[in-house]
Amino acid sequence: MVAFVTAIQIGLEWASFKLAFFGVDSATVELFRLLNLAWFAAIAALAVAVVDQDPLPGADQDWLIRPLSRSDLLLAKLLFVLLTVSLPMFVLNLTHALAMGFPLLLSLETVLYKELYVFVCLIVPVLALAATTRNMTELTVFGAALIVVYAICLSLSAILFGAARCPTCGTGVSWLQHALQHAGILCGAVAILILQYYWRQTTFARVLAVFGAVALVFAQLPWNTAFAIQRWVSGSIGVPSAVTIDFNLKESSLEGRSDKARQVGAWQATRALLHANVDEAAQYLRRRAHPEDAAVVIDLPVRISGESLDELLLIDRSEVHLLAVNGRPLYRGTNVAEAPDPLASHPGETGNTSWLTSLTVGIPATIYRDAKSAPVILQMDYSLTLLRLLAQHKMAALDSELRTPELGLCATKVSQDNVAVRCNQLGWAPFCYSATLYGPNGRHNPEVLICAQDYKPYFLPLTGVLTVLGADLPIRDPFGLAHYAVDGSELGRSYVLLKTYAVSDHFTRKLVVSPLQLPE
Amino acid sequence: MPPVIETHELSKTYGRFSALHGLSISLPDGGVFALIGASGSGKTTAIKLLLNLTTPTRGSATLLGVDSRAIGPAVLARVGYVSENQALPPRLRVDEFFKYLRACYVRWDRGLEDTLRGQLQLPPERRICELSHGMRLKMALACALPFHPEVLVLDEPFSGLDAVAREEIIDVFLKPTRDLTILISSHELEEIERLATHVAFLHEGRVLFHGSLAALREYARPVLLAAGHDDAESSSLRAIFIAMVRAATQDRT
Repeated sequence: MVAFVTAIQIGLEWASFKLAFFGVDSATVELFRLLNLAWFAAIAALAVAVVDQDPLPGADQDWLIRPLSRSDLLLAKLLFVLLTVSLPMFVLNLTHALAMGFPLLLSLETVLYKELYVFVCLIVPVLALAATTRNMTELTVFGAALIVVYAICLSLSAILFGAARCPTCGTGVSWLQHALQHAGILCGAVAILILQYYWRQTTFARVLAVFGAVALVFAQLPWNTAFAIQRWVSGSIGVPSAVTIDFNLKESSLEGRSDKARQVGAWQATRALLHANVDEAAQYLRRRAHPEDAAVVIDLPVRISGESLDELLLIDRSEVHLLAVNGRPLYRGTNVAEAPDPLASHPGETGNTSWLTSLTVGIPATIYRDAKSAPVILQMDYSLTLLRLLAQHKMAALDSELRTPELGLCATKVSQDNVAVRCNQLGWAPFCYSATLYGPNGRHNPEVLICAQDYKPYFLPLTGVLTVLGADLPIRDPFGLAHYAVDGSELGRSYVLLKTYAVSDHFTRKLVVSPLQLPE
Repeated sequence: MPPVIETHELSKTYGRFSALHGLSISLPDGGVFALIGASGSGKTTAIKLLLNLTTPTRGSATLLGVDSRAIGPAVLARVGYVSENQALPPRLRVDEFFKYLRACYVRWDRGLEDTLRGQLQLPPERRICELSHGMRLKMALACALPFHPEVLVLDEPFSGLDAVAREEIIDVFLKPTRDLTILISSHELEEIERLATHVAFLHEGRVLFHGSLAALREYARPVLLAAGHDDAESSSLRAIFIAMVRAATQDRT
């Protein structure tokens, strides 16, 4: 079994190496996906088999009457998994990192961190679950029961609280919730291992596991707490940002539109369910049942000032308060972006640090219908993140390579329709990066900006230590509809400008519009 | 010198079912002590409580002077245990299991191991899961002796064995010695009668009698006479057992 797990690890590392940069061989891609699944299953199976050699539940196990120290037994099992799973993985990951030309010390540090993460967040919880059961069959049944409990709690939570069930979900601070869950799982796993190995309290251990599954759903970080922690983690406390947001109706108009695009059917709900987004699925079904309740979206014209040219402003979350002019609350809700959402318009290269844009506000149609009959007060509480330019690098557009501290080893490759840029960074990568194709005369194609899902300040690896980054920069529209300033004719003298951004500040801004007459 | 095994009001309940109720016994050094009783009378529960395989609901027990709930490797290294339900590692070969055990016990006697294995003709290359029930029991017994235990606890060691295998086990393993105290629970009363110096008679989780075999005969005389046995002195343990169980059942009803 150990040989089988090692073989899977070797195969996975080989496939990962083959797919670095521009690996488009579909067979290797499929093999990589398959091996990824097999890797999880194999190390879980091995960990379970190790524990089940000396099962803890029951009173008939031979090892119970042998003069074995429980601590020695537990440590022996942990050591076995370290030697048979973590050590081969360490060697393979380190070899891969060194083969990619990363420095030895940095590679060692990243690989050690990665193996520790896998051990603590994956192997230890699997060992703990295995310790509550006698064999693989029992574990499968118990694991399925836990999944059912988790799914029921998730559904209940989604039905009862809707999107409010998880204030951080889909935002840049979701990593804090995940970190909390990881810490909870680890503490629970350690508690179960201690309970089982020292007291053999199987019933209590199983109850603890079920309680953990429930807590995973209901223990949620409140938004303000999470955002405050994020500010503290990124060290932005006490550094007030100069950015201001002002309502501006003079230079633009207020427009409202029905959110028809988001009226959805059952298949969207199914898709959301398959992605484990239960609250989203419940929301889809609710909208389908009451299409008249689809949100009305207002494009609120605003002027943003204080953002410099090398900065990017992201909206993490906005809270809508709609009040009657006498202060009576009419509606309170949140608009959450799928991920930290860069504002649509960027100052660009005009040199202006003050610019006009519109921010969307969603209000349920039923509330909107009642509210538009009279002037209202609209209060928006924005949670924002300011990114600053960390570094920028130029690399030739035509089949070149570049090593940068921020993005690792990057390469470009030209195809018929685009210039592909791929980077392999060891460990953590910057939160946002962009790539722009510049021609020899200084003209350039639109900038492609890519941001990670959240602001986590650490690398979250499982199977490998490399973070693959990349962007496809179009040079030709296959349908001939768009024309690009830099096309395939001058690629030999063109270059790609890579920019990386780091978090500069997290802050909140309040925007009050009073009185406001909602448009028809 | 403290008793090798002592229990005080030892009780175990599973929900509302009382598996053992107030067991108080004391075993002197060097005897063969038998727990007898019908199925479900609490014999196995008593043994599991004694070895900390399960925790008591009430009461306490000591084994070799140590509270059963605090038994650690040092005590287990002095205790041999064989049970008909013992789950030996099924995938290990006989040879591998002995090799594993050798590392567990400081006082492991390789010579004694070889002698026992030779006498029992245990096949070294066979996996444990491939052994017959009788062979598995013999193997468990052969594993319980080479470290020279001070206490040997046997839970139904004759269960499912033919007469030849029983004789073999008694001849090879259960010769009383001064250095070894044996606690045995069994339905096989003929064998118990040959081996035991003391008995505890359990019925529905309670001790009906606790003492020497001679004292048991004395104790059971009225029951035997009432049951129509004229010669109580020479009645077999089997006859005593049946008479006492019937009397206890009648008392209850």
